[in-house]
Amino acid sequence: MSGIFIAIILLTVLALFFGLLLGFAAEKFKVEGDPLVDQLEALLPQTQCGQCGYPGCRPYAEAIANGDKINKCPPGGAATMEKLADMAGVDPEPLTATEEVQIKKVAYIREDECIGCTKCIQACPVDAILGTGKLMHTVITDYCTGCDLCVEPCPVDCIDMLPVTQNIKTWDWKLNAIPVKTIDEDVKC
Amino acid sequence: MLTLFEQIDKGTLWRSTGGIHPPERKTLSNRTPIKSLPLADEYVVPLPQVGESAILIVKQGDYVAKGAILTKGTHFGHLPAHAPTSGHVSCIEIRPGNHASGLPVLSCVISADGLDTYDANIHPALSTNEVDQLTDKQLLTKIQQAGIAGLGGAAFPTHIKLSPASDIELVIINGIECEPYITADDMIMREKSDEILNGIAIIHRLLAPKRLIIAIEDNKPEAIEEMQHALNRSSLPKDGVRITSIPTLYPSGGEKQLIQILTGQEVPSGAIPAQLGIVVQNVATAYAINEAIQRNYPLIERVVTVTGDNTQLAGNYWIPIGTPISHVLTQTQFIGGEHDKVIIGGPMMGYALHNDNAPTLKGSNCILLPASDELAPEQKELPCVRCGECAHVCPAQLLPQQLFWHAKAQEYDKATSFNLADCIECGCCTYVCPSEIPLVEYYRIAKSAIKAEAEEKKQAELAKQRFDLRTQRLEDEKRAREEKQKASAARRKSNMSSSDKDAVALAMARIKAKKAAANAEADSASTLSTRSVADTGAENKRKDISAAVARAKAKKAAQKAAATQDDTASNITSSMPETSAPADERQAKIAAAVARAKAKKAGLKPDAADSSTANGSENTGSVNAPVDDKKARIAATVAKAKAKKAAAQLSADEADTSTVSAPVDDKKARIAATIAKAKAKKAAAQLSADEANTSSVSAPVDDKKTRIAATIAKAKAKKAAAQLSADEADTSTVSAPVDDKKARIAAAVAKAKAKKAALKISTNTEHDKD
Repeated sequence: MSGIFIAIILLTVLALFFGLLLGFAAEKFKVEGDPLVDQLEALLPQTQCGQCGYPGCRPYAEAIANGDKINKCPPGGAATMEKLADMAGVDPEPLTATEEVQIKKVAYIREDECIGCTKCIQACPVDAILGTGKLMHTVITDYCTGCDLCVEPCPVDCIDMLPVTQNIKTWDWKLNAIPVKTIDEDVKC
Repeated sequence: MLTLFEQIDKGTLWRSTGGIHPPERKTLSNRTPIKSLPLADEYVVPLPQVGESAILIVKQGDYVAKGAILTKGTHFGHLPAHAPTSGHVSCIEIRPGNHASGLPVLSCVISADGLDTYDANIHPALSTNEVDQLTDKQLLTKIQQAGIAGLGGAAFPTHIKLSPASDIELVIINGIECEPYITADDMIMREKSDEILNGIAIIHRLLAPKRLIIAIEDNKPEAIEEMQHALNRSSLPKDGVRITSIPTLYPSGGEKQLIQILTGQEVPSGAIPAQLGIVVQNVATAYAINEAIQRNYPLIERVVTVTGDNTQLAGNYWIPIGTPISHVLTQTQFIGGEHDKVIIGGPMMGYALHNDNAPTLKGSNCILLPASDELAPEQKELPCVRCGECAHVCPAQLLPQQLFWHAKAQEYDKATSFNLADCIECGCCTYVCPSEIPLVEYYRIAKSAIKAEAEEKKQAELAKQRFDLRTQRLEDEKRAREEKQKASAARRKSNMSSSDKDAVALAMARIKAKKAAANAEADSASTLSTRSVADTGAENKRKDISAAVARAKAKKAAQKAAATQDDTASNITSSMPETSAPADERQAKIAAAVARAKAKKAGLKPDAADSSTANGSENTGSVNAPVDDKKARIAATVAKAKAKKAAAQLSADEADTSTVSAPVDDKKARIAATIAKAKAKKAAAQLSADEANTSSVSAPVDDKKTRIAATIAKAKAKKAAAQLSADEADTSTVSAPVDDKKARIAAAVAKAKAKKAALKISTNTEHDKD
């Protein structure tokens, strides 16, 4: 009879102990905010271009976390889309943008045409345009994310989006690695 | 148990994993001594650093002597470029580069004048003593200024390697040259062994290692012999320096592989040998160091093996860096066609050149010109059969087939987890693969993709940082703007409410003035009041009636004033007082006119005369009963003045209330009306007291006198008003910078005071009435 009591007491004590432990752990290791949003944001290219329809990469990450589609980020390309799909736990989908949009570009200002209106400076989300009122502006191409946002406000249309030229440092082996091969037609046995 | 150094001294070797034995084919080029080629017409010096870490110090048309410096950089790792021959800078432009990509690079093109004049800085060789007198720093500067880069292939700046942060215990001089076909190091060791040993002595002096090993593969017995003799002749300490022969195996010439063979130690992934206290230098680099120190001769030429079945003059050549490869091909009698490959480097690690006009570089040790049947033909890639041969031969102990699967599937993170970064791209796996899979190609693609990804990530990080900074800045600006706006709004408001305040002050001043006047009048009237008290034989009825009439009058005036005030208040919300003031004035005027008319009427009627006197008696309660017509008239004028005053006061009061709650409600209006009424009453009381004074002093006063009195009263009122306005002006200047809240509080206080005053007055009157 006493054995049963001992068992009950023991189990109660254990239950209390683990309950306290769990309660303590829940408080101590509490996760603030939604870690998924941060993880999704880390995958986005941070161009802040707004092509997804949201005013920046973080809002889009939040939208994906709330169930928006993962294929709205043209600057990220298919690779980013796949990673987003992986992270968000949904199926990959083809990008909404065309291939052409996905080529990495940077803005160039045709400097002798620039009238110094500062409109592009205000539009640039990453402060990559240098210049001041009534003086020529220029793009710091290293900082340019190619978001296109400066093209629209320019009153004299002097901003070009040019594809990034490859140099030896940015060269990708992929370009000439795979020679074109003619595949023999299937011969039926 | 022997220590590592004892084992090294004994010549113990460790086994490295993997490796292959491809056909060497070195005899093609190592039968003849090193030759020189005739000068080319032009030399192309690629300047990849210009625009990033260096500037070009020559311009088009400049004359440059052989060995003249072309670029200047401030970066610690910067290596200057030198003119390979004397001549003029014909152009500085984008030229095809000597790179696997074939991408063009900015180059300085020098058209040779054919004289090959040395630069003034290059001098005859110094003696050993003179070299000994140079400090370490001078030595390193000379090495840097000579533009010496590792000549084994990687072209890493040598002066950085020779000034390591940690202590160096072991220096390895790499004379392995394990790749097939290449014999450049072999030949330079045979021909320039003494110079190489001098260079090694400089390295030895700079690094002061405990041991120094010159490692040479055992397929170069002549080189080993020459080097051994040179070592015996040199001043290097015999006990700490030795030449070790290494069994031939590809790729034991790799830095990490060589360290493993000689010491048994493995360089950790991602680490450099210096972290183990080991530095590896190529024999050709040692030769270049010697040239730089002794003669100030920069690295402008190197031994290049030109070999293969497609050249008739296979051998080693001193080729100036920047020589167009097409020139080398013509001079060595290239017999291949247009489609025959020109390979820079060996057959295992080299790359096919896209454009023959590309120049030779510091790292180009071999130009391989194979005939079409010489190398294994490119075969169609077959599926991986998982034979595991590649894993056996991998010198880096990787799993090539796993890497292949992941690289092919573009699962680069998985490939990274299989240590793709440790692949040295030696090509052993490709060499042994039975399925002819170009494994190294896959790894290169994967590596560049990973690099690009890392770069993108960095770029994204930077973009995010800049975006965040910008957002922060914009927010700060917005906040600052809002604050400024608020401040200016407050200033505007305080300016505006200062006029409210003025109105309040005006009202208060008026009340004060009135009080003062009342006091003064009370003083003057005190005597008369005592007397008038004596004449308390007035008829109560009449008194009441006249009082009621006066009250009604005042009420009407007040109501009218309140009504107009109400309207304007509802129409104009904030800038009330100024606009409403004139309206009130008008109102007051109307009221006054009405009062005048009434007074006239009263003056005409003899009964009214009684009532008008009663009006006075109503307040003081001590007016003589037998008052004549004139008195009545006086009373009328008084009433007029009263009405005027009341109206003015009302406007002031309303100004108060308007600041607090612009659209004044009925109740307030009523209150204001009552206040006005009370005030009017008081004013009436005072005036009548005045009158009483005169009347009581000389009861049978004629018309003239009364009139005079009335005019006096009027003038007094006017004066008071003038004073008030002056006061108001004062207060306005003082209260200008008062903010909204204060103004409101002041207004409330003023209102309260006004109310109190009104209450007092009314109680007074009541009291007096009683």
